[in-house]
Amino acid sequence: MYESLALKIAGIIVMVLLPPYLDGIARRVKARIQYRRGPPLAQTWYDLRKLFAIPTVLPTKSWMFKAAPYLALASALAAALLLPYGGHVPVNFGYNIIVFFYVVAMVSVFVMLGGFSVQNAFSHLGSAREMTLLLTVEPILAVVYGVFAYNSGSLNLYHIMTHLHLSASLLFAYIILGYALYVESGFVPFDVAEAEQEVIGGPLAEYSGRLLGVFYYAIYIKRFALLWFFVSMVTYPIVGPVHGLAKSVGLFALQLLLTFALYPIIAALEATNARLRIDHIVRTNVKIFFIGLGILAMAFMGW
Amino acid sequence: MALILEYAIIAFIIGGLMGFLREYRATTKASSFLAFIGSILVLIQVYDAYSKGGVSGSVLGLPVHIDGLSNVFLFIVGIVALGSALFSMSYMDHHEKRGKAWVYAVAYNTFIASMALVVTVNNLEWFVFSWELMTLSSFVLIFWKEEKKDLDASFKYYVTMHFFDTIPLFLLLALGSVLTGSIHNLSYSAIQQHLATASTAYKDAFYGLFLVVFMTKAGIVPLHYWLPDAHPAAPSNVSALLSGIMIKTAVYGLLRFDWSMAGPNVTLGYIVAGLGIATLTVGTLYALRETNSKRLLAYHSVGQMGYIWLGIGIGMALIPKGGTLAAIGALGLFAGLFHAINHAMFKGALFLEAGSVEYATGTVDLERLGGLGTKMKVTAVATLFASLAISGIPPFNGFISKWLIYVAGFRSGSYFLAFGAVMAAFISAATLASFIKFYTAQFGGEREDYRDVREVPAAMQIGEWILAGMTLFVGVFPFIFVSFLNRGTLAVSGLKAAVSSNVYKIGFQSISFLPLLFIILIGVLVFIGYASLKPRFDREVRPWDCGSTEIDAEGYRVSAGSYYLKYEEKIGHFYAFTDWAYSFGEAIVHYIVKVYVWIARYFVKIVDTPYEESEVESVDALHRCEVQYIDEETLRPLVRLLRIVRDVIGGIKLGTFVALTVVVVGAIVCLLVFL
Amino acid sequence: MDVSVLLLVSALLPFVLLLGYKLEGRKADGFAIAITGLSLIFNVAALLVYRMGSVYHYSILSAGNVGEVFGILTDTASVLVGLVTAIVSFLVVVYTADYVVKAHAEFPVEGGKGKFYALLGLLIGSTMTFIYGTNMVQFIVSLELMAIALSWLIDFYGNAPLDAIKSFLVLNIGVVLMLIALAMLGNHQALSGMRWVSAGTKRDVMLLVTFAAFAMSSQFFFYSWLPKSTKGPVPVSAIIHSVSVTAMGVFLLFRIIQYLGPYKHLFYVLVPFSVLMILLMMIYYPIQSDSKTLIAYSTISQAAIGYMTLAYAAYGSSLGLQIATYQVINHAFVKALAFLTVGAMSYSLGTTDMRSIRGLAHTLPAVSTSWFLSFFGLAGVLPLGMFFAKAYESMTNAHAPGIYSWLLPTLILFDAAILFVVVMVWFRRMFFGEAAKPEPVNRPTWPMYASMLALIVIGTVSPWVTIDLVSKIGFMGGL
Repeated sequence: MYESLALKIAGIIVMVLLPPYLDGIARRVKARIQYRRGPPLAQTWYDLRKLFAIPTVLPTKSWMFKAAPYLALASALAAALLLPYGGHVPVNFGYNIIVFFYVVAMVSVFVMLGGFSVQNAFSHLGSAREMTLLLTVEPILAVVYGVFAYNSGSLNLYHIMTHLHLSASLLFAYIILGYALYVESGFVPFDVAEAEQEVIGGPLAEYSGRLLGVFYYAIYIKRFALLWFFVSMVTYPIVGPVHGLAKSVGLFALQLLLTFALYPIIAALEATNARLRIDHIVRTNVKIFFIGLGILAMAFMGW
Repeated sequence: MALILEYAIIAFIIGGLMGFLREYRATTKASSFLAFIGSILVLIQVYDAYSKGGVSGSVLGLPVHIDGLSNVFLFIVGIVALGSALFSMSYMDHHEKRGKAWVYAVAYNTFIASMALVVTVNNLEWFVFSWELMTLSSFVLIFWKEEKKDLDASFKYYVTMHFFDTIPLFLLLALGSVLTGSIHNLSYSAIQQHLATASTAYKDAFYGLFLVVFMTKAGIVPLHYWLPDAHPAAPSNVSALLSGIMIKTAVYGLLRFDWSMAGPNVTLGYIVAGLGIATLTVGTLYALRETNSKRLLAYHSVGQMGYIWLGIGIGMALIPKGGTLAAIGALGLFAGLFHAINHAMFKGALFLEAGSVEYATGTVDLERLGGLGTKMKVTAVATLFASLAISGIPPFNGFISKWLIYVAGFRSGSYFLAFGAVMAAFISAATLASFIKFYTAQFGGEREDYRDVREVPAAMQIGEWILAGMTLFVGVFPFIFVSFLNRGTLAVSGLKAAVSSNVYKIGFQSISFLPLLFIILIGVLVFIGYASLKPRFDREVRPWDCGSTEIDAEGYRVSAGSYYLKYEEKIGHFYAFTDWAYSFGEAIVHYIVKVYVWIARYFVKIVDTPYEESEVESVDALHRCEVQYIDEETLRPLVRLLRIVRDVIGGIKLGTFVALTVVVVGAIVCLLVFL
Repeated sequence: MDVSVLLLVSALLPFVLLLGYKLEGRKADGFAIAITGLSLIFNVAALLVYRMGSVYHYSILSAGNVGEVFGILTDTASVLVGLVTAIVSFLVVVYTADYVVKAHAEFPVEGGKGKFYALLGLLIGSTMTFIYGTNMVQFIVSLELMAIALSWLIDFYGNAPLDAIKSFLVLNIGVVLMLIALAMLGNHQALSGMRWVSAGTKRDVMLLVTFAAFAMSSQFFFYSWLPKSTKGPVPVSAIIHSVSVTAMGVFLLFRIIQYLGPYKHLFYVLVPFSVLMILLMMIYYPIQSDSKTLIAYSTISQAAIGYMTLAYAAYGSSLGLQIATYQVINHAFVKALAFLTVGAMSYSLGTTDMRSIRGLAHTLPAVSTSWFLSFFGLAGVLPLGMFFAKAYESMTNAHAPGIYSWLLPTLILFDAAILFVVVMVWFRRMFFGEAAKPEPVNRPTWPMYASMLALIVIGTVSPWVTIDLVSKIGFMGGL
């Protein structure tokens, strides 16, 4: 009882505090790749604190402009709260794969609504790109739902994690899941929506000060949630059913460890790639979707 | 005791008679008000039938039976008509210059009444009667505005309906009477009874003809081509009825006849699911590139109808298999029905909102609209609600039903149906994309040219909020509808969907969603975020345009047509193929006309003159020719001979001739009588 | 017996109009309206007295060795069809009062109203004696009288002398065929005596009467007289297309089949001809741009559908008899309405050519509504009765043997569908548009509107009322 509560609280602490540090890690790794020293690990937190301190310049009277960052933050947190931390879900409002991805998508929805609420072409362009990205990722994710559901016999996350059995299609599904999550997180080379150099920050172009900080924070948490989801999907089936405190804590530690391990890889990928054009991304993702349908067929054939 | 529905129908009839008021505003307001009363009575009837577990009786002499299935659809009729009728009371002022209020009064009320009858009557003959009445009144409403493209749309609609609805329905009447052996006994129970022992050929004809009928009305690919033209052509309050209710009657019919009456059929189930998949894909991807707000909504009606058919198809394909699959099938059916209700609410709301914007600004062109968010706050929020609902964003109602459809599809154990669920999830994203555009193109940004726009009158706001509010309410408290919908699935398939539900939860087996908890969580998180990071604002500025002074503020945006241009280009093959299919359909019609003209040329006199065009290649050219009759042409030599005889004899007049004939005939009669 | 007397009076009253031959103007109108109104009243009274389903045979005149030559047959079919005739005739006469006038845009008429009414009375009266007819002689004489009336009426404007002769000749072909049939029947020529004829005679008579009926209903082979006769005054067309000659063709065969009894082989005679006729009309509909002629095609195909249904009756089902009657009754109102509507267009616009009309919905809203209801109604669209007629026709013909059970309903429906598309195209062209043309010369008067409205109301109500009534009709002999 208490251990469950403790792990949940630990999870909440992790989801609230860790994401900016993860970004710090990424910045450090990127700097090292470029033979720079790089900022301290807490640099992203410092940036956020600074942004929180600055009042926002208002480019519009729209209420949506003001509400969107908070709604995005809430959605990102809600998504993170639905994930297991050492086997315990902080707030279970529907522990299944579809609900999770819909809640994650809500972050993008509010980013876009915020971006479209101002009269600014860059902002609109970025938001439209964000939507296009989502549009191409969603079918790939749907294929993954399908493989998981058929492989494990349910869409419930707990059931999936405990009932997956190894098959070729499952491995492929993991690969495209990883890919889809990477794209949805908007890491380079898929950062077309916010692309600073092209569309001056896209949906966030008109945001400044505290509201911008809130948006950034929401986006970090969303990236964290997606990564944490992947990490959980990898670790839980390996570890098996969770019983007892020791195993829970161990699992939690394993999740954290894997997260820390994966982030530098992501950062390295970011540092060594150039941004793709949106039409390239669409084309690639459409292809991957068709490959995914093949994988789904494989799953149904029992491979 | 008379059914409450009877009073509702009487209210609609009185509403139609309000056409006699002559004065435009009085007529539209009074008739809309009576439609409003009628809708309330319909809803009371729904509650009554629900609490009694089904009622039978007669409505103005027509036999009526309201079981669980009818009740679900009667609810759709009531709720959408309620919103639309209230909305109409102010909205119709917008069309005052069109006049013809009496046509509106009669057609509008007839339309609602006929739809209420379609889903409740208990006899195939009266079903066809109500169905045809529905088609007729909707046709009148679609061309009511009399703009050229509306006329073309209504033309396409009605002709399509005649060939793919009326003809099959009449053939079904014929089939029904052959089955029952009588032309007077076409009650559902009698047909069902005789169908059970009928030969396979009859059964297949029964399935197939009804499938065509309901595909057409529901706008299922490839018979959807009329819908995106017809639905936007009508006034918006009517569009809400068309998209909200009328196409659902096809779902009712499919369930009533092709399933409940004829029995489940696995093959048909896969066909229905396949049609659903094709429809949701085609409809929604076409909606994605649409920039006319009402056309966009109409294409989405096609797309969302695909979801409903997919759900029903899953049910029809799986339930006969029994066991666990039957439970999943029942879930699919349940989800399909649920989505029908949900679609009625959000699509009704969306059309009413498109109407509000049209009322306030005079246009439905998304390319031209913009910046209304600060001017029409109430409408904007309602639109946002309905948009999120149709995109399936939790905790709105669209999410629940789509989610259940995915669950049923992914768990079906069939690659085909799982593929359907994949497409459904994909298309859900496309829907989101489309509605991000729909909402932001109208309400996003700030625009000078709509500076003087004001919020629409209260009646319209209430009308749209009845439906928009329902999207959230149903989304948060879906459990209210579970047993209501389960009555429907029970009536159709004899199974209840094993949907676990209580005040804060809805789910299937181990998969659940707690909408109430979710919305509280979001609320709390927003509150915490807001309270801890309370926004502080600096000055207000114009949006930053990179320092350019040349850019016109109005044009500094992405226009609705270019939101997803890159995406549309990349899936260009899809559009190319579908466009080709459209042109193929047009070519068929073209060649039918051509063949006809070729035949008809033998039935007219073609005079070759050097001055005029003598080639007869169109129907118009046929009109210019004199008609030939076979008997005349055959007897022409004889007539010529007689003329010569007349000229030789000379002087014989019509009178003489008649007299002569009379004498001869009289003589013969006398001879026969007296000899 | 009372019923028969009432019906007799109502049938003979229209002949009284012949006395008003010399009347002119309003006097003629008043006289005609009064007489036809009186006839209608007697008819309604008869309906009130009559108990549905019962059959009364009232013989009035017998002669020589053929027996009965004039009588009144009162049964469900004759009472219903008679009432329809009386109603339509009365409304048409009311309409005519303001139609055959100098103000008419297309055919201004100076005088001759009394003559017109007299001939119309002759037509109506002979139609009614035909309906209540009890024997072949009465049928023949009534038909001859109709032919005479028509030969004058069609050429009333003086623009169609040849067409008038043609219709007279074709109808007389019918008369000749019936005379031969009469000769064969000999002393069994009364309906009541037909059950005793030999099988051979039955076959020959049936075939002869069939072709006589074809001539009356403008079926194969002589089908051009009816479309051509629409050149005559609209009230005349309204009567002949809805209740008189064309409908009487179906009624005649109905009576013969009813009293001679089923004869299976007749099915295979009637069906090919009706199918051919319907196919032919499907080709003709789109060619025609004149609304009157278009309606005439519809009449021909509706009559063909009637024969098709009678074919099923001849095959041995009383359902065929019932639905054929139902068809005749409900077709009558819609057809009359269609003609009165076209008449109103001719009256105020001066043309019935649909190519030259634009913006009708704005120039003549009431007429356009009536056009919408009647023309779409002819294609079987609600609310008028043809919808139900089409439904019951399809249902009845679906019982036909073998391949016909699909062929016939499909054909009926496709015929309606082609007409529907044609009407739709004209509707689209005629009703709307900014520039209305031609400008109306004058507006239809209220009696004209009133008769159209009455037809709409009756046409909407009649299918609901009559379906139960016709189900009382059955075979009377030969079973």
